[in-house]
Amino acid sequence: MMNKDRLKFGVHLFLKNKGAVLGLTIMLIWIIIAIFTDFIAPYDPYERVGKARLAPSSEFIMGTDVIGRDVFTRVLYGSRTSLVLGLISVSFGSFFGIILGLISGYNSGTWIDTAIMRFMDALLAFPGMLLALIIIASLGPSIQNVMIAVGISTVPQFSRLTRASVLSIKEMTYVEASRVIGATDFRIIYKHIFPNIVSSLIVLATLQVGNAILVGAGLSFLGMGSQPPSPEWGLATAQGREALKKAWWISTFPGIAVLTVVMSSNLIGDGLRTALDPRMKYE
Amino acid sequence: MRNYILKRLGQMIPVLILVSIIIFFVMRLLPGDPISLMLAGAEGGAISAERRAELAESMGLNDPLIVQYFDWITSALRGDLGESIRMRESVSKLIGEFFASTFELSLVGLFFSLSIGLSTGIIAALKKDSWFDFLSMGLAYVGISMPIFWLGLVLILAFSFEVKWFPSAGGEGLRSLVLPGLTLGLSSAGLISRLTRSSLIEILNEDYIRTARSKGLKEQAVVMGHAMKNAMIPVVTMVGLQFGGMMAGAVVTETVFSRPGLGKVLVNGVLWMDYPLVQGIILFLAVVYMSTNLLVDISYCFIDPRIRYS
Repeated sequence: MMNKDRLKFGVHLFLKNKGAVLGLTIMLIWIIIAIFTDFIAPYDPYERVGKARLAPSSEFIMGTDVIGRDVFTRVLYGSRTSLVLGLISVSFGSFFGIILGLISGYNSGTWIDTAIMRFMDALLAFPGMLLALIIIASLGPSIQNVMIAVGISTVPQFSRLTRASVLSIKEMTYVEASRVIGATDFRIIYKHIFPNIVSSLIVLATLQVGNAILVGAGLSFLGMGSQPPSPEWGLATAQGREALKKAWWISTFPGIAVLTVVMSSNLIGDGLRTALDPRMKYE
Repeated sequence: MRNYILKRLGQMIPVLILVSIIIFFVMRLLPGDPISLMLAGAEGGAISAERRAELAESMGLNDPLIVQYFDWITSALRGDLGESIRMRESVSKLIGEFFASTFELSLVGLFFSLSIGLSTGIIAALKKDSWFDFLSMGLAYVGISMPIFWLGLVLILAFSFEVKWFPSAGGEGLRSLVLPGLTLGLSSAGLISRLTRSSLIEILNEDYIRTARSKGLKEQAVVMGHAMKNAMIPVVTMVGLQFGGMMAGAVVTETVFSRPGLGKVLVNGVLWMDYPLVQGIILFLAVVYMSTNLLVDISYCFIDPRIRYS
């Protein structure tokens, strides 16, 4: 398990990484925005507050959209949907992925292991967002279903990583010792195996949040996620598409918002990977 | 090597069966019923119970799911993927009609992703810690994090509205492929660039590179002849995955550029809840994706002799 010094060293490595700090800063800003939007946003996200397609000005810093709602306000509100989507779908995917990976790794070589892993291979055989697409096709378009769909498509990554880690750890002497003195399977997993894989899981989860937000926004852009009048970023980008020539700002700003959130989660993930890498020595 | 290929083919079959099972059963969770959907446009919605029962019977919807699955998969093996509910056409025929344009788009995407990704990755590795390295890796990061639909719109704004170099939608010929191809290729160019850089930097530190240099080889020969060949192994895997992924990424790109193609048809299929169409196209794309990965694995035999002899 990670001791206190190693943790301190990890934090030190993370903070030394300029990219990671930048990512963390951007992410914190977005989280604060998402929580306090009601106080920060200048207008109501659903109300028409000006003429349609007004260019950015001091009154509407990101202009108004196709029906005259404030783009800036809607971008701020959109952060809620995207962050919640990232968080929920990855929690969902990691929960089931970790459980399946633990079962599979702990019972390696049995038919349960084979069955679970073949099933995960099959899920991975769907390129890109196609797995999410068939799930949406069957459940119907809505942001909740996008969360489920994106969550399911992250399950194989988590289960594979967990299984691989379990396989390497369960042969360790201390795990065997624990078994010899009569520890239950649950206790061994909880006390010995889980703490050892937690750091690689955190890295994967962070990177997956960005990916989930990207896929979720893409699905909403295609009309399969959030429905109007939601200020969700992918949907907002799609709505500005028809007016792109006359009013570039309607699509551009929500897209930049997606870019910054995804980039920050990638930067944090990469920073964590270096910081938590046990090969980084701190003597 | 033949054994290796056969082994890989053998491993693909159970996964393919599972893939088809997943597609079929997930699609059958469909809450709406296909008959109402099918008739909504065609016969004004109002139909008699008898006509409904008749249709359900003729479409095999009354059979147990397992029978329906076997019917579907045996027909699929014969190349018959059923008929689209909305478009009233054979799904196989639609795939045949639209695949070429998606494939073409993916090839152009791959061209951009390889040419941009490899060249920037190599230069960045050779000039490690220079301003070029810093800038290109920063851009690669942006590329990876960029929503593909947004990139498409930005490219349209810049290159078809501001300077009118390329068409913003549809169109024929190579010119109309540039913007969609770039949209599709740029994010994977970012990945390939980063991977090429890190892989090449690692290889350049190997002993055999030092040997090659010390025996007086020109830098170009060291890089191209010795380092690149070895650095390319992880990159080839990535390229294979990316190419398969691009055909799926075409879903978004084709929508942004209003290009006819399999992706666009698939999106419409999902929105119409046209399940024969969706399950047919997705099965097809999954098979294409898996075959690409298989080809990549086989290509290792040529790049990496260690695999050939093991």
